[in-house]
Amino acid sequence: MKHAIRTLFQFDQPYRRFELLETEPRGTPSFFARRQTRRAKIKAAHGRMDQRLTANLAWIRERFHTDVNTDVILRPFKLGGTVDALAVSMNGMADDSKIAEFILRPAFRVAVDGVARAKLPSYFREHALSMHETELTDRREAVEQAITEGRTAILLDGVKEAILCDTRGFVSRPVGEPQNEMTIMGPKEAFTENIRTNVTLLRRIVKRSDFVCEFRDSGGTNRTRLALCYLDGTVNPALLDEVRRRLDTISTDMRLTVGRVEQLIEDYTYLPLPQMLKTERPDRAASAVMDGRIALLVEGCPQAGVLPITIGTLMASGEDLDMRQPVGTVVLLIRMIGALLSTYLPAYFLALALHHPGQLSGEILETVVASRAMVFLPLWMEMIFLLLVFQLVREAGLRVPGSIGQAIGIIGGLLLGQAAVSANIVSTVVLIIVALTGLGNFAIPDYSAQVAAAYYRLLLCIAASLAGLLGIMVTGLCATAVMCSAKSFGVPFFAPYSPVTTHSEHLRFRTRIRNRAGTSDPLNPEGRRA
Amino acid sequence: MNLRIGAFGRQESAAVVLIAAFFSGCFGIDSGVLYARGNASWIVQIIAVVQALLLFEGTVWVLRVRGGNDLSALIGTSRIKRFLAIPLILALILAAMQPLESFLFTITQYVFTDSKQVTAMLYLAPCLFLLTALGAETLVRTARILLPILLLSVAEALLSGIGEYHLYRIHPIPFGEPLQIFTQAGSAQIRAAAPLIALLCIGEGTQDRMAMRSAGRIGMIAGGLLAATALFALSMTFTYTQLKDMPSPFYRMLVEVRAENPTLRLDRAVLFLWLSGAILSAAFYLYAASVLYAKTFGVRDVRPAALCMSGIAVTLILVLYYDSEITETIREHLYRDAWVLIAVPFPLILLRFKRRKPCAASS
Repeated sequence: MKHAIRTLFQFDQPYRRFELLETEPRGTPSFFARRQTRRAKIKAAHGRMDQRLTANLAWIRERFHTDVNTDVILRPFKLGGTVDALAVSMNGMADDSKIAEFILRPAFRVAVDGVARAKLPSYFREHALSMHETELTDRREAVEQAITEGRTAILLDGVKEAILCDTRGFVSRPVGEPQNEMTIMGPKEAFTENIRTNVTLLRRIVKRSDFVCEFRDSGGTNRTRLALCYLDGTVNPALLDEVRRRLDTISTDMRLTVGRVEQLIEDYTYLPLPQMLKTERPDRAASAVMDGRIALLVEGCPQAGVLPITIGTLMASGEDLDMRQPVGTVVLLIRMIGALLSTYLPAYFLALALHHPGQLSGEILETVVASRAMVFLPLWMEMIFLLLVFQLVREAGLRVPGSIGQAIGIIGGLLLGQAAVSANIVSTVVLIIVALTGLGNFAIPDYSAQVAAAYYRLLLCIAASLAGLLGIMVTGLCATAVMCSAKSFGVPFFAPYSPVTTHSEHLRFRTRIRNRAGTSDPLNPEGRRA
Repeated sequence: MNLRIGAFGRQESAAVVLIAAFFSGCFGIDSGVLYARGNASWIVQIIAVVQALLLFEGTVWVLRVRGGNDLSALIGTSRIKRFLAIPLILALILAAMQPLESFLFTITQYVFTDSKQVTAMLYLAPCLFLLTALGAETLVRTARILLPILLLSVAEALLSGIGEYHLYRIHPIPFGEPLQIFTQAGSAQIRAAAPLIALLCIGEGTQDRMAMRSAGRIGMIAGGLLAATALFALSMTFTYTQLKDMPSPFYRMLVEVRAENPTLRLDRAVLFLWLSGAILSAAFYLYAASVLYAKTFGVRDVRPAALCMSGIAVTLILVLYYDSEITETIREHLYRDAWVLIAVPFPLILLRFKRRKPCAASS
């Protein structure tokens, strides 16, 4: 019966085809089996170290699969020539010379006669180890985490506590120039994959004693190091607590990046707009931190996530404040117009041409008709086709190396467009509209916001082809209402325009720089405000 | 309870009241009734606004004396008194219907001439449902975002028609029949008082009573006067005999103005921009009605009520649209006599019925 029902409702593949079941060796799992397995794993990881070195060695061999995993280096030695000890490190992650010079050499020379076993770790740490960052722990989870990070764990026989020494020395990329957020003025540094380097880059800009970098480990079994950077006493404490709470809920085993963390802790999953600003510029992240926001750094990710954000944050670029106020205002205004053109222009043209031709003047109408005389595709299909082609060229240009990417853009834009017009697949008027749309789209500084604009553009085009201006109005109003209802970590997207949070600031596109401290008002920070 | 009221400030509340007051005052009119005996629509609008403001101030004063934040606090949840909310809910639904109905007619009459009302409603209804279900916070914030664009479009429409205005067209003003003007102002109470009643229903979301009062005052005075100005401009563009048979006069005025200037043929774009304001106003009324219902009848989630109210409004619009003598009579009565729905329950809500103290038992 069960098989019959399965066969009836299983359309994609015939039943009993080979499947890699998650619990092959144990037979049919119970309903909560997966959760129990995970709990058991977590329980095992949260144990304490053993006093016996052999037991600890066995545990390490089991956890790190040393029979097949040759990356883990187990170096037995005699501390002071008498006490059995073991240095555990990860090949490639830890610096061999640091281990030899600052751990093993002093370990052989130190005299430990007469020192009680229980006090041996602290004695060794205080009298022999010539390392700056060391830590004592008896938690297995901490030892495991330290080894995977590149630190060295020293285990002593007859002692529960392990000594963790910072011997990290893996290869990393040097600080380079930002690839996606290029500016004319301002600094040219970009974040790297190394979280320590990224924190240093921020600290070089924010030279304040209340600048806190709170390191946390997040994720399921694959714990990833995150850093929450904020100004203590400026950031809203409720916001900080909420971010901490949300980070603690992450239990995925995926590799964590800023984009994934954003999706794991955000409120509105189906909103196309991003709820966290992803920037590769330390100066931008530092400005946000000084404004009362939180910057989130993730190990292995060359971007920082800034939260909370508003629509203004997405429309701003790193060099806005470097420009003079009137010029900055004009630039911001052009960006806004570009964003509006990019979102509404194709739909508006479709609506007028398909449903309200009376709204176009005779000359324009003649031009449209003449340019479309030989085109065989319907107008709406032609528009959507060209918009998709534009996205295709853009994506292709993004994913290939710099100079080739530019070449693809030129080839896609010029040759393909010219060829499509010659082949009567598209008309020149529609090509101009799509080109303007593309230019407007590039005026939006944030990549995620550009993609969101493309999403709304497509929706509006479909609505416009169905119901003309009525469709645009309905879709636009719904989209505006949804954006008005959305919040990025408790801050409304349209703040400070709606809700109005400051009395006169919102009336100007870009406020003038004043010679006094201040933070962004919509964040409701502690301390001084703008 | 999931009432989706949220929290909002004075500017947002004033914006939604302004938009609602303008669209109800300007687009929720029945030309046949309003221009039956002369061209006094703008006077009627001003008197109706004053009456509505008096009602609002009185209610806020009673709220201050009794210590409540919104209308439901005055109505209470007693078994009998809560039924006083029903006429107000009906009044809000009617207020939501009026501008929507007008726009629906305009769309099918002047824009999509081959389509039926049901087809146009097919696009409007989901938007209305969504806005109503999203709640007060979303509505007021959307209103704050849309307000500058709407004001700009109205101002542009009024200013660009200056060449067409002629003062002689406002005659005759039926000053000789003050009773009729006041009767018309009374009849206009549904569209004039509805924004303030809706604000009173969602008063919990405003910062305090004083914020609600100032937002109501500012929004109503600005919106009501803007509507009166628009009606005055309308009276100077057309004579009352023309207006009497003109179903959506403000759009007609826009078309007339634009006809002279073919390079700026944006009348349909402006029409649909205004339609967004009308939908927002309708959603505001319907949401307020749903909150009033949920609070007085103890419903824990406002969304089903909001969807039901929107459904009722949409159905009634489509049913009343059916061209027959009966529906026409009903429509006329609804415009003329629906003020009863506000006038009857409000004194009863504002009055306090004290329980008699039980007499001491005689020994």
